[in-house]
Amino acid sequence: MATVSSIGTSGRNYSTIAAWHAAFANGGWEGECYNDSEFVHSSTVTLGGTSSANYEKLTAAAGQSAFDSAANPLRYDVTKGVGITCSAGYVTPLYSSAGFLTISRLQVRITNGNARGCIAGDFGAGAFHIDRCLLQEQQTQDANRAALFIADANNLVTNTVCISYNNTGIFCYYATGSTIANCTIVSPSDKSSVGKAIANFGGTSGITISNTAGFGFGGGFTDLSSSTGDHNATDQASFGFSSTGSLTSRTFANQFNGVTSSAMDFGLKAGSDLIDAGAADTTDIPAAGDIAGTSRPQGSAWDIGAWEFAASGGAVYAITAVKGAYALGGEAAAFRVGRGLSVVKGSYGLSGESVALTSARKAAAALGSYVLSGQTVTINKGKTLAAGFGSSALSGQAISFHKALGMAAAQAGYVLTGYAVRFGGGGQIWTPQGPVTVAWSPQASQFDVWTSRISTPENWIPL
Amino acid sequence: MAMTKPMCEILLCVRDMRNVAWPYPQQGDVIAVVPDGWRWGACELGQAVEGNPNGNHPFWRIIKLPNVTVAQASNLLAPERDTDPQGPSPYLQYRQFYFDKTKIPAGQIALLQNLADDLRTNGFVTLNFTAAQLANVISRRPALSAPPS
Repeated sequence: MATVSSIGTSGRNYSTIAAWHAAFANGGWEGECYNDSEFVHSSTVTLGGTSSANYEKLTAAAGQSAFDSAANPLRYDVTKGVGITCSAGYVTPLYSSAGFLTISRLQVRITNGNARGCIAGDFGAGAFHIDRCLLQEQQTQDANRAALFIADANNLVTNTVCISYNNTGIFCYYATGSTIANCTIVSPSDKSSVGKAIANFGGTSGITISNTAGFGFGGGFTDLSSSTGDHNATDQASFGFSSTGSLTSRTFANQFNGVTSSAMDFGLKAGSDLIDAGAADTTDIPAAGDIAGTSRPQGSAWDIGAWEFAASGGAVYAITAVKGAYALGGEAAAFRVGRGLSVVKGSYGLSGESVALTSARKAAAALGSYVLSGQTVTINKGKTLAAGFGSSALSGQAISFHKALGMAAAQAGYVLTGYAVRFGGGGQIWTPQGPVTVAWSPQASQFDVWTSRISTPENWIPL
Repeated sequence: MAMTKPMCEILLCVRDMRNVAWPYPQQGDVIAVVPDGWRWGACELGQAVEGNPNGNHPFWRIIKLPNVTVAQASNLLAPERDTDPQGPSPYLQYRQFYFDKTKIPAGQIALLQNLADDLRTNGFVTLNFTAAQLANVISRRPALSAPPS
C-alpha cells in the first residue's frame, strides 16, 4: 500500500520536496504538496522510484493545484496553487534521476539561468510521466535550455503546458519512443524565441506527437523528422514530420486567451481553430480530461492542446437549495446556457424550493418523483408544459394561459377540479373522457367539446 | 544598530539511504538548508506519523548553525558533477561534499551525542561554527568508478 505524505510549511509531514524524496520507502511513495508557500529550490532536487511497484508520485493535494479551478489562467501564478521554482542558476527544480515517477498538477518556473529545464531527466531504469503540469522557462542564456528536458526513452507527457521565453519548448535527448499528447507548447508572442517547440538535443530518432499545439517559436515546430503523430496545430507552414489531420499556418493570437508575456493565458479562446480539431486518445489520457480536469470532449471532438474549451454561452445561472436532498456540502451549483443538469437517480428533491427557468430551458423528470407541490410555475407565450404520465400534480395552483396556447393531458390524471380556468377568444378544451368543469364567462364565445358533459355554475349543458 | 545573526538550519542524513533510487543520500549528506525559524515537518522533526513506515526517521538530524548563512550552507547541497564532460559518469553522487564526522573537533560532545541519538530524543543541536569552521568538517566525496556495493 502506498504511503501518502503531505509536503508544505504549515505543519505537514515534510517541509521540502527534497526531504520527502530522501525518505523514500517501498510500496509506492506519494507526496502531496500544499501551497503554504512557494517551493524554492537552491539546488537540483532529484526524484524517482526504484521499480514499477516501488514508484514515486509527486502531485498537489486536493484543492491545492492552480489547475483545480478552470477559471485560473494558464500561466505560472503561485497565488493560484502550488508553485515550484529555484533561487540559483544551473538548478533544475525537479530532476528525474531514475524514472518510475509521475509528476502531476504542479506548476514549475525557472528564471535564474542555465537550468536544463523546469523538469529534466531521466536516465534511470524507468520512465517518467508528466501530466497536467505547467512548466514556464524564462531564461535568456541560449537555445540549449527548455521548459522540459526529456532524456532517455519511452517517457510520457500529457495535458501539460510548456512555456519558453527565448529557448526551446521541449528538448528530447535519446528520447526515442517517448510520447507527447495533448500538450500546449508556446513562446509568448513578444519574446520571439529562436528555438523550436520540440527539438532533438541528440540521439532521438523519433517520438509520437499528437493533439499538440506548438506556437510562437521562430525555429519551427520540430526537427524530429522521423516522428509520428496526428491532429497537431501550429503557426508554422509545416510540422517537420508527417502529421496527419493537423492544422498549419494558424494565427497565434486567434487561439489563446493571452499570448504576450504580460498577459499570458494559454487556455483556448472562443473561435480557436484548435477547438474540436483533435482526436480521442484514451490510451495516453485514459481519464479523458484536460489540465483542469474538464472532461473531453466538450464539443464534437477533443480539442488540440492541454485545454478543453467549454463554452460559457452567456450568463451563469445559479441553483440553490435551502433544504432537501440536493446537498452540495454548502457549495453553490451553477450551470451555463447550453449545459444540462441531470440526476440519474431519484434523490433530487426540490420539495419546498422555488425553481426558476429562463426562456428555452426545460425541466424534465423521467419518473414521477419531480414534485413541485406548493410552487408557482410561470410559462411564457410559446412554451409548453407537458406531463407524459399522470404524475405532474399542480393541484391547488393557479395556472394562466395566454391567448392561443394549448394545455393537454395525455391521460385523465391532470386535475384542475375546483379551480378557475379562463380562456380568451378562440380557446378550446379537449379531454378524452370525464367531466370538464368550466367557470362561466361572457368572453367564452365558443367551445368544441368531445366529452360526456360540461357543467357551469349555473346549469348543465347536454351533449 | 542590533546585528542579526545569519542563522540557518540543516537537515543532515546520518545513514546511507540505500532503498532510495540512485543517487541516494549517504551518511553526512545535507538534505536541505533552510532559514532560521523554519517550520519543519513532523517527519523531519522525528515524530512518528501514522501510516509512514519510516517511524521517527532515525536517519536524520536537524542542526542549527547560528553563524552560517543559508547561501553558505547551500554549497553543501551541490550534487557531484562530472569532472570530464566528454566522459560523463553514471555514478554521480547525491552530494559533492559531506559532513565528515571524523573531522569533528574534540569537545563537541553535544554534537556527537546528537549524531548517535537514533531515538532523536535530544531534538535540535546547535553548532556555533563559523562558515570557515564548518568548512573544516566538510570533505569532498571521491568519485565512484562503479556502482556502490
